[in-house]
Amino acid sequence: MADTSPIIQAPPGGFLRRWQEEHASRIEESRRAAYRFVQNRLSLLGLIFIALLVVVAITGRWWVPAPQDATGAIHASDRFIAPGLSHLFGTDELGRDIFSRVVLATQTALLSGVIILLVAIGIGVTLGSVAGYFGGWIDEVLMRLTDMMLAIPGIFLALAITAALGPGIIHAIMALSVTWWPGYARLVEGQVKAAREQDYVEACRAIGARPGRIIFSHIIPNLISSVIVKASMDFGFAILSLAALGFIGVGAQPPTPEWGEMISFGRQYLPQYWWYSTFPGLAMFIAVFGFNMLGDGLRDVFDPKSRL
Amino acid sequence: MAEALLEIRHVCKYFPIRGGLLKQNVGAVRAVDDVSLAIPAGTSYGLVGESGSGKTTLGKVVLRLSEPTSGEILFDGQDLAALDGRALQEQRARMQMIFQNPYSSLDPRKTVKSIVAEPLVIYGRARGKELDDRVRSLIATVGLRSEHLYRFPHEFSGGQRQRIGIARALALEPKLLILDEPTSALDVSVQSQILNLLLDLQQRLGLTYLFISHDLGVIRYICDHVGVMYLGRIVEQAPVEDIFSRPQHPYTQALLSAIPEPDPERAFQPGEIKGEIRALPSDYAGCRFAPRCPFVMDRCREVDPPLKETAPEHTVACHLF
Amino acid sequence: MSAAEPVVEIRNLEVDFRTFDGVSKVLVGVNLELRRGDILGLVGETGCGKSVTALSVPRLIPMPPGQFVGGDVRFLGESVLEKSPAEMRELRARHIGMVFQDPNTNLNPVFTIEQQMVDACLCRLGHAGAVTTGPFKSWRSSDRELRRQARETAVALLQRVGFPDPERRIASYPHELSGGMRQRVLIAMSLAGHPDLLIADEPTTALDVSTQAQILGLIRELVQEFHLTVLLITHNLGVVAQVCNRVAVMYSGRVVESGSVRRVFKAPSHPYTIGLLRAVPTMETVRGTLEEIPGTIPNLLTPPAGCRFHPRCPHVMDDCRVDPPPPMFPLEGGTEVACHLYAHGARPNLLVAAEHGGRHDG
Repeated sequence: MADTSPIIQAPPGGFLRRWQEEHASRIEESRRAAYRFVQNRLSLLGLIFIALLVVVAITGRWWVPAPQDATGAIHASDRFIAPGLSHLFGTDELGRDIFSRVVLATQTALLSGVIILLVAIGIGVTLGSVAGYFGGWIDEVLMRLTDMMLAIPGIFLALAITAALGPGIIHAIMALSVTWWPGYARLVEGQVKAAREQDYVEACRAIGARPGRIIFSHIIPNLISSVIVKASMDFGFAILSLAALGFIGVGAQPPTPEWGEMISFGRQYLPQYWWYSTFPGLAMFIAVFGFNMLGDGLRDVFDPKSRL
Repeated sequence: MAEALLEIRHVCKYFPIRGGLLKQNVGAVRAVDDVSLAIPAGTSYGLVGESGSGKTTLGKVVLRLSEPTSGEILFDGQDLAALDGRALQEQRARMQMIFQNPYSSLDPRKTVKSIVAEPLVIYGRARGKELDDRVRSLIATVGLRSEHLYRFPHEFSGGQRQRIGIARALALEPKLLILDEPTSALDVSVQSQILNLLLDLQQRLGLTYLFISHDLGVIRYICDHVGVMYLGRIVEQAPVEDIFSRPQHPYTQALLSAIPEPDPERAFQPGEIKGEIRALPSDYAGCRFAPRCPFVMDRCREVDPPLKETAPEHTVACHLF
Repeated sequence: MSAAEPVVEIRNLEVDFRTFDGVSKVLVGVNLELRRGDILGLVGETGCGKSVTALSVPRLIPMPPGQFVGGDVRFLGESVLEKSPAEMRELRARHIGMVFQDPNTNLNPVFTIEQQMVDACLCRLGHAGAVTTGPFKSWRSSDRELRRQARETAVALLQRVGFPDPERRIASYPHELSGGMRQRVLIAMSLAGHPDLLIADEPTTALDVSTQAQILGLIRELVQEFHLTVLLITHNLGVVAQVCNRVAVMYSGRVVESGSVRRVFKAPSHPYTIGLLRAVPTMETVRGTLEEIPGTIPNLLTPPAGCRFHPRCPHVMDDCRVDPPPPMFPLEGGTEVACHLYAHGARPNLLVAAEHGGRHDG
């Protein structure tokens, strides 16, 4: 066939122009996505919050006033100083600077959230797409396992796991990771089932594509957007759950700064030393709120029905 | 008749109906029931029927996208139903499908280039520069321009998308194309462009078509032979002129009379057949058209008529003949 | 209202859709008139604005993004653009019946045909307070009586549209019916208020040929019986030829030709109409001679200057590239055409005869 029709040569031009030409559609697409995203002011606010948190998490250790307060320093003379110029958020019962500890806890929270969700998405997407694509008894087995996991309250299971392994932030992250995937497995299984009926999947089979290629090259790219939306909404909850474990005392252990653990200790000194619990709580609120708003915005971007 | 490129012999496709608590089989939908046909190389065979007639299922069975319940599918003399794995993969490259809906048959997240290149990549037919050249020439073959290469399907109109689908199907240089209602989602002016493109490609590349459609005008324009399907059976089969000038089966006649012709002076007499296509009980043994047939006889309800040759190459399954 | 007064009169209607990419000029001066008893076929391809034109009459164009920019839509002599939302609801309920393409999505799957039909009858007869579905079901005896009457009306209407055994099968849910039956139900519903106008948007596109034939036959009968005026939107020229008495051909936001079906199909005047008629394969078309209209429909965000058809027109002249087509130019036989050729005094039959090769003679 190639000899019956003229072969058109690739267009001339520099590498940059070629790149621009080849990606014109993607650039346009991103422009539209950005426009849809900023249409929703709250999601923009969420993005700003998250960006701020990320910057704080990464750079915090270099500019916090008292980095040693996160690693076990004790200043007996500075106990419970109210928020002020010397200590922005006040100090705690061991005289540690709460501002430094809240800032340093951001890193813990975000990093744990990322790990929890990456593990959960890894397990969930793999199991969900295998179950959805092959159907039949594979689907039955995997989905009943998922249902079983969903039936057990996640925090309970996490509690059990940390109780078995011993308290500690690493164990808490592991526990949450293995309890977090069923939601993704469910979501992905449903979407894969729907996508499998799509003509373009049938078309791929017709040109001889194998299941692996169809799943990874066609089905997953088409549902990754809903996974991202769910992940950004879940991120806040993952942080909350980790904080809950910290609050109960099976998560991060002192002196590691962690919001939930800080709130838990501060609780004993309420209402007199209100700043002890309030500032970690506020940080947590900003993180959870930010991720939820971001998720909303991303949903607007990805949902084809909201396309203009 | 010349050597048949594709020959279908007594192919059946039943979908089990599961019911009850234990999901046992309580019957079967006979989507395709004992269908035989042959398509000589370089010709077009039109499969006509309404929704539920099984024509799309038959197309998928030929490609083995759906496993036949029984029967033989001979492609170039080889029985496809007996092949598997690598051998099937090799044969599959030689027959391709074009889908009805140009909006859903292209992956929305892939550029035109990667859509058209995919079959070549899967079969390892070309890489790098060669792949790029092949894709460009395919795109040109179907009347698209090279600036379209890096766009996404949603940036195209229905007709252009169908061209992309055709380019993808042609990538492996197939011998047989199965076209499942390729123009029914398109506008009139675009439909004529695609139909002429298909005729042109057939001539230039020596393709053989299995053309599935409910539009008799389109079938008549493209096809050499026509088979009329009704509830899983071919009820009439003939060269295209015969079907249109001397339709014999009451269903074919009714179908022809039901097409509104774009000519106000040609009186339109619809409503000869009553009711609608409806699945029959699994144990029904008579002619499937009997419940709607204006000429129904007692025998029709009891015995399913076999295909009988009434004229050269013209076969009808009806007790009237 | 005098018999001569048009039921629908659309004058120079302009509608824009505002989107992220800019303003899309969806309608650019649509002129259309329906007289009592007309069955007008509104023909055109995807995106030509035929549905928007039809939806302008019951004012159902989604706004935003839609926006009336100019012109007027008059229904029974009154401008619908000036009416209040309450008046529009009344108008839609009592005077305009609508049937859409997809009968699956236009019936609520959780209610029976009976519930939906009875409600439709009640609403269309002005007793919306007595509806049977939803949380506000009224148990007043007068309302129950109204509902009983509405049910009778519903059964009679279903009987009329050829719904088999309506007394019993009215209790079915939509998913228990075939596509053809659902479309019959929708037609019956639209007739409940004895509307003056029936807007049918591709009513048979989703149906099989033999079912389509039945539905078209039904519409033809109902027009006589209910003294309906019908606006039938379709892309199927065969349907227009067999059902309508008048036709309007739209291209990219403008009616380019309108007239009696007989006249337009036998002697089409606008180059687009000519191309369209020759692009349909019929029983006479010889293989390889089907004509194409080259190119694609214009992008409404960046439409071509002048006449929007000029890049695809075989008779394009310099004027066409610059000026929009002149207002509808009357030709003999009542046809009107919006084309520069005719403003320049071209004789339509010449145009047709010169090109008349492929379809009928071949």
